[in-house]
Amino acid sequence: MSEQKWLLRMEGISKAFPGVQALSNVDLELAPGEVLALVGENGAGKSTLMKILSGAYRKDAGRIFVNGQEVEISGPSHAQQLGIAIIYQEFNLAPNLSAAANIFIGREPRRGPGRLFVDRRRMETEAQKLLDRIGARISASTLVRNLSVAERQMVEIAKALAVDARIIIMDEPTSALGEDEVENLFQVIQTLKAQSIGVIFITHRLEEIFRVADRVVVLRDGARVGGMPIQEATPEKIIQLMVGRDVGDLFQKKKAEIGAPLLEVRGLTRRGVVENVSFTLRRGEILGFAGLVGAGRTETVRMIFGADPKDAGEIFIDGKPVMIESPRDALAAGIGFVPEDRSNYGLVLSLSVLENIVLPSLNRHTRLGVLLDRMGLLRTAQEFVNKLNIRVAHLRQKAMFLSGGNQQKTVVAKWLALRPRILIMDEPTRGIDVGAKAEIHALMSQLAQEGVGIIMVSSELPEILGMSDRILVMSEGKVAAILDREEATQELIMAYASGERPEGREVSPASSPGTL
Amino acid sequence: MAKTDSRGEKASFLARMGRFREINVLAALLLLGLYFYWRRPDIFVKPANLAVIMRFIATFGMLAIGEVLVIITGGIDLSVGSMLAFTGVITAWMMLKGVGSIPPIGVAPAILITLMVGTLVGIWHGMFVTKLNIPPFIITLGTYLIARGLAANITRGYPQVFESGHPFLILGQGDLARLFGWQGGGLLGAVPISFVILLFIAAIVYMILNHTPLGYRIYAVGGNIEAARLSGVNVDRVRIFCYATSGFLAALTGVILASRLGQGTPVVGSAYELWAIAAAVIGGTSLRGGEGTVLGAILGAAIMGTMQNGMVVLNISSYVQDVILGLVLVVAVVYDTMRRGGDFEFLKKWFSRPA
Repeated sequence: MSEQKWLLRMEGISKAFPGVQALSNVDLELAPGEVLALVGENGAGKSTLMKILSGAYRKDAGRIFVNGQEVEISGPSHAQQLGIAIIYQEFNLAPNLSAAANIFIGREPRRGPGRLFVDRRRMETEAQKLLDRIGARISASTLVRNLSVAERQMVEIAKALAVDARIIIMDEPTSALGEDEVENLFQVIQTLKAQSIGVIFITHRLEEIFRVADRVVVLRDGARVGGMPIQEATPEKIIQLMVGRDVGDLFQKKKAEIGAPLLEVRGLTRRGVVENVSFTLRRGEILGFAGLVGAGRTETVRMIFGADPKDAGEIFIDGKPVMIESPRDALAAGIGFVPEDRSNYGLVLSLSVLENIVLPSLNRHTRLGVLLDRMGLLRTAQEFVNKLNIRVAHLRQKAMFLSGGNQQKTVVAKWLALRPRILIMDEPTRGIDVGAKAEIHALMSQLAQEGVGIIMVSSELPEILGMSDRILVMSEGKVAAILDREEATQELIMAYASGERPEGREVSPASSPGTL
Repeated sequence: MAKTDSRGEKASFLARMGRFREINVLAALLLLGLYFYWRRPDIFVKPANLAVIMRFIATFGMLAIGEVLVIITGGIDLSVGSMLAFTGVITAWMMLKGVGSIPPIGVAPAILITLMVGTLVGIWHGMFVTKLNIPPFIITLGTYLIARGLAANITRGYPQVFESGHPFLILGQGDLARLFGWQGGGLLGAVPISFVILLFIAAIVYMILNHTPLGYRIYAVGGNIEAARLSGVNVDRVRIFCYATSGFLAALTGVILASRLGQGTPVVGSAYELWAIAAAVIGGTSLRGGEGTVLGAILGAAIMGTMQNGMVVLNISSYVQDVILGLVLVVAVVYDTMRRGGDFEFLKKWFSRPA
């Protein structure tokens, strides 16, 4: 194809970080008015590639053409001049300023002698025009603090238009949006298309690709493994390219004997977030928590663990009521919790692997009641580093220098060191590579065989279907259904999660919660 | 790979950044000492002069240890300078005048009560910080004003002066020779009692930080308070402990200073909290929290004490002294930040938004 046709062409892009070849010889092209879906597993190189395009990283090799002109992108401001804008998952907005001020930040229209003052009126009019242009129903004078996540995203897009961006990169723009908001965003993307703007759309949700993209490019392990017009693509094809093997091998679920009820939750409620959640977890069982983002799954498990206060609800372990007001109470009751965001909630990154692993179980390693038994700490940490195959140079290595997979295994290790009876895992394999993922799944199976009851919150349906004995589907803070492994399908879960009641299933199991 | 043999353990100990940094600080201290010794061998290493330095280290080392604990947890304690005045005044007041109709009490009970008051003030700070979520800067700034105001109010501006020979004065003025009745005890005899107390306190806090669950938890709270909480750490209690210890150490230092000066006076200790923070920072404590050691605190105080004393010995004007000490602080922090900056770049490359 001729150079003129492409808005953007990247050719043979390579980038290495110490110890990792993040990208090798990747090509990417984008036409005006085209929506390109860029997909791949975590660690496949999508963000690195986009960071090179937006000037955050320098490439090691390769060439970039914008409108047929070869360019050497020297930094974020240069990328901006070239008409490239990136919209990150976490927004770069100042919450204390208005939408208009954010849109024009650093380039505010001026007035007065020596153009000394900000022309606030003009700024708001111009900003309003941009917001209207993408169909966002936001007043430009609203403080960003008072905007929803979806509205903030609109402000980010308006901000990109304000600098005449021709190429807009959206990094998982739908991950924090509700269903309606996603729909709205897709309409905005259609508007951008109509204005001949090229959009690169990074997502993990396959169904979105088919709704919005014109073409899809798949990365795996830093290389481009496939690209095709959307008409030629199927979900199976894309998954196979992403994973590079059959999905069937991914889940190492082994049969575990499911025993007596272990944990019983009744009427768990936090007003406005979680409503009357009840269920029973048995020994040796893996109970999957499925649902859309914002359905209240994380909030539910955090309440069970005592991390957040609850308004109502009872918790029973072995049939006896337990009071759990803080994580300490949960620990004492034999509950472990692997939180969803390991670097913010799971680990103390500035501490060593050793210290992180023993943190919850320090009291079990004392002599004379106060002094730490350092040999005991070392032994414990070493035991679990070996058991979970955590790859560290030495036990004193700081947690911040580990890969995502090894960090996650360290979080799991610190709970296993306590030998919990119940383990809550919130998105246990998010953002880790396929190998570590399989290891964590194998470990979960093993724990279940040892009689541990596991609650697994996951947004990945294949993981839910592959690992769970039963599946609790949440929708808008409520239990929509509790499904058996045999009856559960991706479609059924999605139907319950989105609040529909599937045909032929008049009585939702949620109406008789807590029983099998 | 995950094997840790004895050699690996040793290497990893060296790899601990705190160690490296303390070696840097120690090397700087030795160089300083050698420089002043080279310039004035006749004065600098005399036992009497070294005793002056040790007294300085005792005062600021003790305060810096308290600051290190608080700063590790991500806080700050601005009250300690004023607390010196307040605790010095009340201890003298209890010994000399008595409270209202209660007659003066003995040295030991007065000291004990003073230490309790200091600890309670620390707990008060901790309660505000943890239970009411008041920024530590603000609540300790409040005490900074209140404590000195109270000290001035109690004394009506006049110091409470001890007669010479009062047994209380041994604490701050005595040395080992005087304590044990040695004749010409040389360098060992010249070691001030306050310095011995510092070493004792340092040993205890060192043990707490490195060999007890509490110590591990203090670092964990400073590194990531939410992760610590979710690991079952009672984060409020940990933080309150640190403020309480800082209050206790401020009171102990206040008592020692009152003894050394022979009076409880509301004007003592002005800006000492800033010197203590400076000592902690020079010793490698990060104001971002999560990092800091007892050894660093003492070495930081030692650097400042040695510099200050050495400049006096060299007859450098006191105005210039302040300029130089300020520059040392800036250089230490810039060095530290650059070192961390390097780490941060490294981190950014590796971990931000993994593709």
